[in-house]
Amino acid sequence: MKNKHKKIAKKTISVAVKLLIALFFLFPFYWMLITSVKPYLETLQWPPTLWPEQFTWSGYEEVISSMDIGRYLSNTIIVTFTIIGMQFFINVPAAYAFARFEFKGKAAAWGVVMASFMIPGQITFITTYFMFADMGILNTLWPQILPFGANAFAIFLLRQNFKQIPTELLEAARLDGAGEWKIIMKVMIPMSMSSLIAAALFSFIGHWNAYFWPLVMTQDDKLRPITIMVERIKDLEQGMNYTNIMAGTTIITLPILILFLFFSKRIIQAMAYRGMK
Amino acid sequence: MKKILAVFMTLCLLMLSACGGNKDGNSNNGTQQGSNNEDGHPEYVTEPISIEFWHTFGSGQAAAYMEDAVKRFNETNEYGITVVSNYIGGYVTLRSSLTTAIGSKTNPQVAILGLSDILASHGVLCDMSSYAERDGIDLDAFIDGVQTSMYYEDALTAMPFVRSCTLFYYNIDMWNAAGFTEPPKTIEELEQQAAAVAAKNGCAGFCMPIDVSFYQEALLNSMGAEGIIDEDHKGASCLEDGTLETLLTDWKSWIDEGWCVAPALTDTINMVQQQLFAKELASCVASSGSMGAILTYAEQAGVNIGVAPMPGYEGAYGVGSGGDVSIISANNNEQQMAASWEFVKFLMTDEEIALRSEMTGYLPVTSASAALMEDLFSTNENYQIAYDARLDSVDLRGSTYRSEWQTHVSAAVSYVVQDKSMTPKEAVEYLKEMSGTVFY
Repeated sequence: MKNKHKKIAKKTISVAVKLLIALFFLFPFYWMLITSVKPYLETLQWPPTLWPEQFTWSGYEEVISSMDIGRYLSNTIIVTFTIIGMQFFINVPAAYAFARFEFKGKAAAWGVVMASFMIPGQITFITTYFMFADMGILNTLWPQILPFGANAFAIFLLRQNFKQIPTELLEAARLDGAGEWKIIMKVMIPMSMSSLIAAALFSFIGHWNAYFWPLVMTQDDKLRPITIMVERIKDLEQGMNYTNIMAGTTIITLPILILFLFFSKRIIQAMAYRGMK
Repeated sequence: MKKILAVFMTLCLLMLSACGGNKDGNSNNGTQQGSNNEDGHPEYVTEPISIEFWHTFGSGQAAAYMEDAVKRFNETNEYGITVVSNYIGGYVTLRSSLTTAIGSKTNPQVAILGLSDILASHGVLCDMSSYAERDGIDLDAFIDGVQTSMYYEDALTAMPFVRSCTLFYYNIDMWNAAGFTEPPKTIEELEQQAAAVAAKNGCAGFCMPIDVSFYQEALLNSMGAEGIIDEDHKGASCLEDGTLETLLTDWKSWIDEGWCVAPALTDTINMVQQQLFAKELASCVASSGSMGAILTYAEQAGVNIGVAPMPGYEGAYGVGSGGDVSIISANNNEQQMAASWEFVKFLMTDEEIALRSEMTGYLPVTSASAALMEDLFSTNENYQIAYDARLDSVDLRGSTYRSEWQTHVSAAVSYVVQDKSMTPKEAVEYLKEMSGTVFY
């Protein structure tokens, strides 16, 4: 009986702690959502209201009517999905080669991949900008896409996963006459789907939220992504209208939240060690 | 982000200094002027041409004005000039982007700049004097306070596109309840009145945000000092003549006495507005650019807000600031610069200045444009007060050292009034030490 009570108490505490942690992480999203439907004066109120006293859609109306949201959104979608597509065709074969082949200069090449993983974009962007200017493609979406066609973190993640796949499976496929590309498509990818989705999702989040790179790489507002649109909403001299800013932020964040809800399990799986040998 | 942009800009300027040069191979060691034709004047636009214009007006009425103005110019100019306008970002972002663009020879022809001195000092801005002289533009028509920011070493590198100035905002009902019918004009009056208002109404009497190149600059100027940077850009005499220490000592004592609230660490403008609307604060200083928003929301919140010139030590004193329109000479040829001048000239007509001011809430920079805004002046007493304050204000003096120096001064001020980890004397000593790394 005593043990049973102890067990229940332990479980209750465990659930309460988990709930607290969940609340801690969910609260900023909740705050963003409710602020986006509060009138401006209520957003300035102290103490703040945890539930809007008055609901308004003016923030969303203002953002949608005053900005060409469709254009910004389509730029973000084109850039993000083109990058993910390019990364699939570059990262997967690269990770496969690093995981499964021995070749001259492999260690050095791996070193280069790892080094690029560690160099922040702020160091390379001036030379990259000049390079794109020389190529004459500054006024296109390419400067936002090309530098991210390969992703060192994704190569690293996939390589680790590919290494865990038993060699016997690959040999069996080769005996059945499968070429390397077929092995990648029919064996490696299906068995590493979680890592692949996780890599794609990280890439998606990173490029959907990209601010610095598009800001410095674009001279034409027509080529800018939705993150820059939100920056336009704030007007420091007039004071920041949090209703509008949070409405814009909600519009940006919603696709990521939805994707995360669908794929959160896959991310956890990708990070977990797979015991199959 | 500001730090990243600052590093980015410095790197770009270094590259620019090293590789500077326009398409014709001329080195940029001074501001460039349009080359003169036989009668001694720069050439006119001879055939249809397209020029690019980068600006900072991204939202609301300001963005609407910009779009309309460009459209009007494109439809009406006699030379077939087509202006393609692009919103780039705020002043810091635009300056950084422009610097990189100049380095990569992809820059526009016209741009709105915050403080243009740093670019002018690298010789990438056009001296518009000869164009102004050719077209008989009366540069003295611009109000006195904006004249300082138009020139870099006698070259006309900037035209005052939009202007605002420091203003004092106060809760009229609270002021009246404490027995005052007029807002303070001097710091002495501010100390007496704000303390009494705070005691009477049970709220904070006054708040001043930390903006050393605006509010604190105005107070230093009102003491007869040269501001946070000397006129010759070679130092900060406010550290030696005791004016900065006086200001910091006074400000700290106001906070210690309880009637003045220390500015919030972040998002000060919103915090101040929030406290004003909640009747937790009786007065503050803010830009005239915020006047529209403050008065509108105050009315909604049922707070009666009055506007007055910013009190100073020797009477009301204001500092002005705003964006300038400049022509980029780097990488642009004579025809592009001539077309750019036509656009700048259009933007600086009295009609455009008046329309821009009416639509955006900024203040007119010529008395003729102000005269065109009679309706607004007659129906909006506060706008008249703001304009009068602007007439008594002087634009911030540009300096290539300002950006770096104001970072140190802001930090020192913050240590005294927010963190309270330094005394005013220690802050001045700290700044004396730092000045050696900035001014050379």
